[in-house]
Amino acid sequence: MYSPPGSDEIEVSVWGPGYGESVLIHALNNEWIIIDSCIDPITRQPPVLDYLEKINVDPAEAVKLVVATHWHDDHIRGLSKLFDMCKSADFLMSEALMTKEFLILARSIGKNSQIEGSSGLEEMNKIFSILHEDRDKSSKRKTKVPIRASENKCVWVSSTDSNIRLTSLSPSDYTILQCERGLCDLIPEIKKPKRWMVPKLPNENHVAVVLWLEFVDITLLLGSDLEEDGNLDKGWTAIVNSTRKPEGKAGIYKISHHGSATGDLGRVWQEMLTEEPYAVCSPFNRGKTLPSLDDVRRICAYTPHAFVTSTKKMNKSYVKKDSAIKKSIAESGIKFHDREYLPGMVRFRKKTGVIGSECSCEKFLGAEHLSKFG
Amino acid sequence: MTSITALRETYDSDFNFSDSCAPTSSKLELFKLPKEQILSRINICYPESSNQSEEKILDQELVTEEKALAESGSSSIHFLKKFIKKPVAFNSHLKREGIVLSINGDYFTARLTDLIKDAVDEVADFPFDEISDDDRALLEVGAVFYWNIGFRLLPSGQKERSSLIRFRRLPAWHRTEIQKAYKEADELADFFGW
Repeated sequence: MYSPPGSDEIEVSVWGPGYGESVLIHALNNEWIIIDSCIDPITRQPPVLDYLEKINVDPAEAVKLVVATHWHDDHIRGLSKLFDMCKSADFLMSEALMTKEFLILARSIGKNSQIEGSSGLEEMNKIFSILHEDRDKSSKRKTKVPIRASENKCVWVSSTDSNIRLTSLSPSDYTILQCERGLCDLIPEIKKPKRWMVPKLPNENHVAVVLWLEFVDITLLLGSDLEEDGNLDKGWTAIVNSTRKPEGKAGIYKISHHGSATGDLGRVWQEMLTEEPYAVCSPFNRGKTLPSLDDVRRICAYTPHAFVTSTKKMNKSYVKKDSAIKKSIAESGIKFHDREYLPGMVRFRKKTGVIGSECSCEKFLGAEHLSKFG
Repeated sequence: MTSITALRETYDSDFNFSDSCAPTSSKLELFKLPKEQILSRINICYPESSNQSEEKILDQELVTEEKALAESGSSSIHFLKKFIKKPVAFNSHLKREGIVLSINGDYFTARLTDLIKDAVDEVADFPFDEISDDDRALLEVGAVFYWNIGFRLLPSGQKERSSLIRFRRLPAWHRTEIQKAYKEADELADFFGW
């Protein structure tokens, strides 16, 4: 597991869940990109950092871009720590959140959070602080302000090969406008009680940044949590219908929104992905479990190469309770959710510039073929 | 911050009451004395703009007694303590801090952090029946509560298994906090060019 990729070898590692999901990409020549973050529920550290250390990659030098696709804590926990460690990395975020209203939320609710990790705003606020504090320092970051991600925008190009380009496909212009209005309603008001989390905006996953990463001989589609509700102006329909999106088809797909039906649009598989692509999703286990068995069947019908990052739940000893407590819990009608999944990893590697080079797929720490999930 | 909130917080911090002996709603109603009278004695600050219209004098007899005590220089705290039951021992076996993630039908879902040992967070569904009437109004996404399971030692010497949920009374946003957030957001917006 801990052998580093060659400098001419693309690597895409999808981690999750623990708390969250994260994608780590080696974009050749020791340039790395981190998209979102998860933390190990036991060590409370981002497993991506541990992995980079074990494959002798210095995040301070090698990571060039850190992305927050959206602000849900199942995608962002530990991201500020990652970003702080990645001293050469620029920061990319959804343009829908790049508003004064979001900064007020971050500086009020995010700053006053009293339960660590209780809010994505807390992580965003810390990241804004890191950027602000770096302003007068001789930082290695190319840009000291967040980079905007919106539909069909080139957001990053490799410094060693201009053919390696990262394009954001969302959020749509319509979503950006809608989000600004919604954020206004969340700003705290004088005399109103504090709370440490903000309620979700309607259709909040539509602000998520979907990314398209092109190499010479393979392309990745990274779906974040983008969902689909049939509206022509947002979600997957807006992406598929766009005539300005990059051409080509992706051979590796990070499945959107934990494999849920609401994150799926058949046209994405037909029009934006190669035949039988590699596909991977991370499960979600809060209240309901995703992907459901129906989701598993649906995705496995699209491609035989579908994987899930984790099937292994936390050991019972971590949540063991003595019999008296169990009895009280049972009498009170309180129901504990199933144990959290431990973070696992699905890793794809492919040598570039070698004719006939196959993409390898490896599964670690409880990752499995999707058909074995559930 | 209303006088009730202020008083409850004072009870909790000064007298370390467990939920089992916390003042009931009806007792708290008795303490709805003019805010200035009580707060001036217990040195609690509250926003200038608090809504005073909620304050009602419900029990004239108690008010009279309070006035008499106030005139004689006695503390409101001593006055209030007379009406609070003697605490019973509560031995906690499970102490969790919870944050409400969602509210669904007749239950809410919360993430729980263990306050006794360094353990992994868990998620659980709580039926509304578990919440006291007083706390029901505080239930909202993002609300913080404390959940204890343990044994109460009753005055008779018997032990009673008990599960107690108490929602934290979060203070209101103060004008200066909001102003600070706006100022810092302005600074960031300038820096980021937003």
